[in-house]
Amino acid sequence: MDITLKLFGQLRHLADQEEMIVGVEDDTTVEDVLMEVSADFGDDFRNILFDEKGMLRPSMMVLLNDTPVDKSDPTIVDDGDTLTVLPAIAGG
Amino acid sequence: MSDTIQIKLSERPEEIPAGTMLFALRDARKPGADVVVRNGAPAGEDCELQDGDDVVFITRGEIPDRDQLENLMAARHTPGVHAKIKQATVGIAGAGGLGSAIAIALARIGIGRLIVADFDVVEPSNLNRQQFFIDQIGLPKVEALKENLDRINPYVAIDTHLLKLTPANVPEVFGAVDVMVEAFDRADQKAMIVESFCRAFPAKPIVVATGLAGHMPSNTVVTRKVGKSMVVVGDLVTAAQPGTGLMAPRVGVAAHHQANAVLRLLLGEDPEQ
Repeated sequence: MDITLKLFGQLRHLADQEEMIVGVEDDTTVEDVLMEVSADFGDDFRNILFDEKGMLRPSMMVLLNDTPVDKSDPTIVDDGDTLTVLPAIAGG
Repeated sequence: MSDTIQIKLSERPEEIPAGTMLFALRDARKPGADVVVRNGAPAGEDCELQDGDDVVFITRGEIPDRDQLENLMAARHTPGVHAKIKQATVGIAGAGGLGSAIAIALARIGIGRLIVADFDVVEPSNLNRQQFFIDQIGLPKVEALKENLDRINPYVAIDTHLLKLTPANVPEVFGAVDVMVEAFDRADQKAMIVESFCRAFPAKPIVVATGLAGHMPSNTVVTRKVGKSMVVVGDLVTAAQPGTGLMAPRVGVAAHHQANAVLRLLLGEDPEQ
């Protein structure tokens, strides 16, 4: 099945893509999807998303079909889902 | 054809003879008034008043009594806009560089109610960009901000919360808002507000800022929609860090993007297009 991945901020620059279709297996989690695409886009991309323990960083704004995902609880993606990732950065 | 027309004079309904000229009415009601505002804009030339006109006469330098003040302030609010935003409640998470400037902008246009939460106090290092004064150093930011907003527009209801926002208290503090604003400094706290608020109130819009440090060109700060209910302001890449500080001009640009996005959302308009 396929999902749409939308990237913002530095992730978009590193991937050099705004949006992509990602093919995934059944029971794939949001974290799995992002780890998988990180393999294509390199260490800098992965280090923005994940900490050294492989956990999604608290500053990541990750929306699945416009709803923020609970980073403490794995979320399974479904065919046709849209996953949006925007790294929040400091300043205010 | 009726012999009279209905107008609003200083926001109060009045029936006046049809054919009445604007400056004649000024001379009759407030001789010496040197600013004439008709339908939200200064009127430089005389004209015949029309049914439904909204007129205010102002004498420069005269401080009106409290009863008159709101009407006189409302004279510069665009008719139709003020009536809508006067009914609105906006939540602001954080009363720092973004939050204090957003609150002031919204107060000046006559927003109905602001709910502002912040746990911090005013420090000297805040004064390079935050809308506070030297004699407010040491005060809780929400208290200092309320003091300043009351001096600008005392007709805005302001609920302050001196507390640290957490996923547990965000729904309770901001349950009444029509539009939410994220105005934090720390990246993880920005994400926390988005997650907490959007999960509790998925249909309510939230306006977020990210990427506003330094002195990059103003036009790199943009307003964009991300999903159905989230609006994001900023360049999305320039973080506050050593060598790239937070400064009043660009923080102010972002804050006013956020304030304008709030206004457009309240008016049912697209904040991006």
